[in-house]
Amino acid sequence: MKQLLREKFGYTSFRDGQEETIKAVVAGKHTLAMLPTGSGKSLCYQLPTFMLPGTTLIISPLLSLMQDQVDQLLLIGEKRAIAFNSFLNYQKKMYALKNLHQYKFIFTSPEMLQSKLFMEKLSELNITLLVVDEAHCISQWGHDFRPDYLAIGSVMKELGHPPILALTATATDKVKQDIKKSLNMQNSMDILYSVDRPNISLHVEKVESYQEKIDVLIKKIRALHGPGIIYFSSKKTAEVCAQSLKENGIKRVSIYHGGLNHEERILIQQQYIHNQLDVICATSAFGMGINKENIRYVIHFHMPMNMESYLQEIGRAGRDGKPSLALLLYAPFDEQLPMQLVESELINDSQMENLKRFFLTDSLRWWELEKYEEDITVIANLSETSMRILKDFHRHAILDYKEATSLDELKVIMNKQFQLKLEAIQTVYQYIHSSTCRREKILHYFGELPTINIGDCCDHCNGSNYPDLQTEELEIIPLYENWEEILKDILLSETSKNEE
Amino acid sequence: MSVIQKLVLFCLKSIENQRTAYAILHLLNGKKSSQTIQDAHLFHLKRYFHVLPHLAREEFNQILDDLLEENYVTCLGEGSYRMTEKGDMYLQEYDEPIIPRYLNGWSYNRMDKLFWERLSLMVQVISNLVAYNGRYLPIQNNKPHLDWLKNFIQRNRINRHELATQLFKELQHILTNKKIDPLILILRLTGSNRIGLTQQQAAEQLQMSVLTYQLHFINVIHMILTEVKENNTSYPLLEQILETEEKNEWLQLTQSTRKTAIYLNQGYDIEDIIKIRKLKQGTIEDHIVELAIVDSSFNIDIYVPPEVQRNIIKTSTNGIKQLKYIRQLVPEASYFQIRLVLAKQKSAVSV
Ligand SMILES: [Zn+2]
Repeated sequence: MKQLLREKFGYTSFRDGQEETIKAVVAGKHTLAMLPTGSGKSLCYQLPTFMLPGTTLIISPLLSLMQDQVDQLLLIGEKRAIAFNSFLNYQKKMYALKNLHQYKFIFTSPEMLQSKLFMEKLSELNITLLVVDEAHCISQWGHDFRPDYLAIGSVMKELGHPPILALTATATDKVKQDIKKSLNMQNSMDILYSVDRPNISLHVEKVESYQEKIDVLIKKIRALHGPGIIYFSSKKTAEVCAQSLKENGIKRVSIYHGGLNHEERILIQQQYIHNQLDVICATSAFGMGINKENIRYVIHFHMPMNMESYLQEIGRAGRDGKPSLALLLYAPFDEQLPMQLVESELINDSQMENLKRFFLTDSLRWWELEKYEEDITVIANLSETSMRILKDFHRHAILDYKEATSLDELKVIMNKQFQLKLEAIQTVYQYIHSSTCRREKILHYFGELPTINIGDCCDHCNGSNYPDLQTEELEIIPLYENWEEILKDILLSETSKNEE
Repeated sequence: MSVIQKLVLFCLKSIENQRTAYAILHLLNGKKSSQTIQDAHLFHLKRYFHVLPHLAREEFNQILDDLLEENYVTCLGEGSYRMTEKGDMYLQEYDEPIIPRYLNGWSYNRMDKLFWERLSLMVQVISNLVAYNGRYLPIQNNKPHLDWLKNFIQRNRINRHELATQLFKELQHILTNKKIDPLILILRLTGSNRIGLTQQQAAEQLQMSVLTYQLHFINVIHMILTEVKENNTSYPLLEQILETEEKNEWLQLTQSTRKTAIYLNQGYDIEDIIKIRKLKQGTIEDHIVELAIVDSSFNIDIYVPPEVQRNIIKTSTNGIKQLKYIRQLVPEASYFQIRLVLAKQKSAVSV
């Protein structure tokens, strides 16, 4: 196994939890692995796939994440990987279906499992491992419930009951139970690692106003060393702050958000990895699939929506194990933004009333919902996310021949979700305003107990001084003024020749 | 005044108040409507077709507002603008072409994006080859480009260092002694150890607006395209990037026709080319007919009014193919026009 690790992936040792998980998977056991962010979850199914005879099917919630994974595999020379999702056009889909048996890694989204043709082709394959990535999406108690995930349990038979590997970074006890129940994972092997990241010091800083927050941010960034990420909930604010940072002499800053095209995304990621940038002002779109070990700090300019995503985002700091910092900035009424976001992501009662009226006046409309998408968006004033929720629900409903009156079920789900999300914001609010150890708070939320004493624990344990963020001397790429020098550097450079 | 403002002012002057200002926006965006295509020809603005495909209406309005505020134009209402004397003086003060000189949107609008995507990928791949680095993310994820590049590397089976040196020489040569700033292109290139800048970052570093940068960038790409087409033997690697259908079409043409095509693409009309090349009218007309046969997208509307085209097609589809008889039935058409329409029909059929 170690040899395979070295040959295929170029690593010399496993990280926490990887080896155990891989052993369980290879032994053909159902496995639930909760490993902290940044511990290399994907290796837990990539490596076994090379050892298992058949195909590995990976179900993942985010389309962009799938492509990232395929790209990562390409990087290590594995071409038998495909992301089978709605991004493929008809021709490519048909081609992929015809040649599905040639792939060793098939990434797909849960909604694709409802395609008859796709399922037919899958059932012809020898699937020796089913991976459910971000498995917490299956639980209504989770922070990111996706109804489509529930369908996974019902396709197991067609897939030939393969061993399941359910992966998640952060799940409370309730969510873990839900995952195992929904996927029918009896006698599963549970590999649970603490969500705690001892080398990340947890700080919260309260300010009085938005303007003061920007001022504090600039001051902090000036004082901090090494690469960092600043997370924002709004693209606009990310842009404004990046601009202010530049005006204040912090030049190696860039923004990153979902609106960038492929070339821009790759360039900014790679600039960051190659230490051409120090600070990324990002929305939550940034981070997944980025393997950068030496990120020294993660700052949240806005209040996170829940503890799970907060942990995931700060977990991108300090993967090299060196002292790192998580800082959350808070100004009065900051909780209003996440509340507005929750509001816009769900379908509220009055929107639901409009939807019902629209469908009940003409029952045909319900069965031909696709035709009316534009009308629906306007009539019920739906956001993109809530439109997706409606479509997901609709897809399931019509499979069971349910009429538009079944929207009442959705209403119940929505109200429950709304409550849960408000509670999640409340939890973050309490975390911010707590006066006791922050690490204890987090561990308590995830049902863990603090086990070790940590030097630079949090602002309540150690005061407002930050840990000493040791930064190695980074090789700075010379900024030539002369274009021929740059061109030489790119095409005629011999220095990097012996690096590999 | 920014280069974009100059460009818009110049276009306003050219349309002489016969269209609303938005005709210019459509032209710069490269809108594929017959109105816009006709305007490009009628007002001799073909070079600026599709040079700013992402220019938004709001940005365009801002440019108009700025020109208004500086009194270079006056607004006649309803989106109609007229250039003022001040504007006219401003444009006349410049002997130099005031707008990036290599722009040639009409000829290259289908090719410039492809050229950049392949060039940037080629540089990245070769740079990593030289560094013996096999692990990197290609900055373009377009499968046909990746396939093309793989093919390219296999075809040019020379030592990787020679390949890099050759590419270096070609890029160095093509960017030297041109009226452009090579950094506009170079800052965007990605190598094994140096990641290129995005368009916003490059604009920032060169201290210009993103729009201005986009225009300069397209200008550089068009310069390279023209240079490679005219001196293809000097750029054996860059020339291969143009391996598209269009290049095959290009190869089918005679040397002399190619020259005529270049002039036409630069906006010269038949009379100009006769003067410049000291050739007979009949010869140039032959070239144009040849172009119409080879290039199915060649637009002949400026040579033959659509109505005359229809009449010629009608008679020819009735079985009459000889020029002499078509001429008798459609007396308003010249022999050149008849040949051109028939050539066009032929190329349309063969596609
Ligand atoms: Zn503490």
